[in-house]
Amino acid sequence: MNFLPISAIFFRHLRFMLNYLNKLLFTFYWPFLDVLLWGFLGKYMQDLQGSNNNLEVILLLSILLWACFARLGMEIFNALIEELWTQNVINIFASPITLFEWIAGVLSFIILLSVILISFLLLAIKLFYSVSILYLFKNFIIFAPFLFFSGIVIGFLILSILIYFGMRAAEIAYVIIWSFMPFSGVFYPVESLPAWAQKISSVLPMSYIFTGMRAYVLQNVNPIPYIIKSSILILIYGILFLFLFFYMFNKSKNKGLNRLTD
Amino acid sequence: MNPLEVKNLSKTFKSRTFPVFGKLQEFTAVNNISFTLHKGEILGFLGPNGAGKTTTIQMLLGVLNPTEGQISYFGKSFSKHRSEILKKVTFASSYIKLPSKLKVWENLDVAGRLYSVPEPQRSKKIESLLKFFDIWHLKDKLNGGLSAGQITRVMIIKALLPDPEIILLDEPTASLDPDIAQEVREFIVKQKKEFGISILFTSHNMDEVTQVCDRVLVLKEGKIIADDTPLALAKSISKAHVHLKISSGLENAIKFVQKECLTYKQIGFEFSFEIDESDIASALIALANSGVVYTSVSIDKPSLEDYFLSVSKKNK
Repeated sequence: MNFLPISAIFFRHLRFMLNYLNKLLFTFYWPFLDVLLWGFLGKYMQDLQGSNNNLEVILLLSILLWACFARLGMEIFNALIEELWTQNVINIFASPITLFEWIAGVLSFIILLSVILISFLLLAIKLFYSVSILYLFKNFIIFAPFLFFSGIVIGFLILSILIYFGMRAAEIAYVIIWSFMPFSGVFYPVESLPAWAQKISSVLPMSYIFTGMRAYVLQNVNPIPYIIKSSILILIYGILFLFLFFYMFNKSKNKGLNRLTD
Repeated sequence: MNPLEVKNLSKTFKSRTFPVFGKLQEFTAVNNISFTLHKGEILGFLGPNGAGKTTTIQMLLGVLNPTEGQISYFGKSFSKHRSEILKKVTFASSYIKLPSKLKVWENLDVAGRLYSVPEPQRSKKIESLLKFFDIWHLKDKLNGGLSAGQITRVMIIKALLPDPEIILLDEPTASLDPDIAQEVREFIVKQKKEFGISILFTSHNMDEVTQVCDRVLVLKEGKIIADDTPLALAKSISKAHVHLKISSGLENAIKFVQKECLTYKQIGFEFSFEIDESDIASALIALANSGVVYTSVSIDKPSLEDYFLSVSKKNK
């Protein structure tokens, strides 16, 4: 691995974000809106029930964790969509950069983005809610890495589709990532889902993290068993989808990367 | 050891008329081609549209897998040493863009990093090239705000940034103003002479190819049909064009070319015909003897363009 090509990808995406306000808005506005909508809904329901069951904290935590998964998972395949959209894909992949270096560059940018995004959302929560930020952050940091890795893993699945089908599959990419939301139990327990949907939930690493988070915050249940189940799934999917991405990249080169921008 | 050797390279595309169940169709874009690019040589790559030039260049850049054959750079297999090789092989194309939302300097900095050009050489090289190509004042402008000619210049700078040993140039002067295009041509030839860079060059401008290239490969239907100097290829076309401005005896001139079965064109008193170079003198004497009086005569010797046109016509 060479540092300079990795830094090229990192700065390419960072500078794009700084130069293009729409991109900044897209990345920060929607999670901010989610924090407002779901946070106030939680507050209202908590007031309505007259209970002290941490509903507000649960919903705010869910939003933060979902941001880790979906927003940052999206950034992985957005990195490729951006290269396809600007017809830059040949400039990148006809250079000495290896696929591992490209992935490392994209991930380093996403790590920075995730730190900034989460800090921004915590600041928004501090401004709008009376929830203790330290308490929220302590709970968040236990579960966030697993949602972050889940996002990366699903990101690789979508990358595998995009690298073969190109811009034609760009819309499908967004549909796929958001289709995980109902089955992940982000805002409700997976037990609320019908039996067939629970079967889908059982193979999603995200569902164990959200279930574990709720059990830990509401009932102080040890979240380790949930985390272990989620980690095993992340590992299996991670290996599988990484291989799939490399396989599809090579298969795509049989047809030529130039066609991806069509 | 030659910088680039291509042996028996082929590319066949397979597709189905309908996904999964449709009939399998095959199309061979590049058919068993072999060639060598020598050190310090500018090799022209010519051919009508669909001849397989772009497909070959894509394979040479590693963004398209060949169906068969070997590509070796500096004696090393391209498929096995891709990253190491591409540090010394760059490209510029009028048809490939850089991100529009990045500034000129940012795009070149990213390119320099991709090719592992360290600081401070990277910044110094970017500055000197931007100044040479007279676009230093655009360094903080977004790529999307540049004219086509300016974009082409940025692409050429990108290709020159890592001090490459081989450059693949796909119509580098398309969309450039004539004066800038001439400067680019001179710069390319200078790079070759001073640093021994080898260049694979495609262009639709035949004068440019004649001026710049040491040797030309002509592709037709995926095969190399000629490999020679531009001059030798032009000479393989024996026909020259004779242009006359006739003041009297136009009918006799037409009778003469019809009798000799020559291709001719006549607009007013402007009369031109196509004839073997060796027969020009006798034809002019015959015309004079038949009472044709002309006030001016000019002869266009066969050029690379004539050769290209003859190849293209045969293609159709």
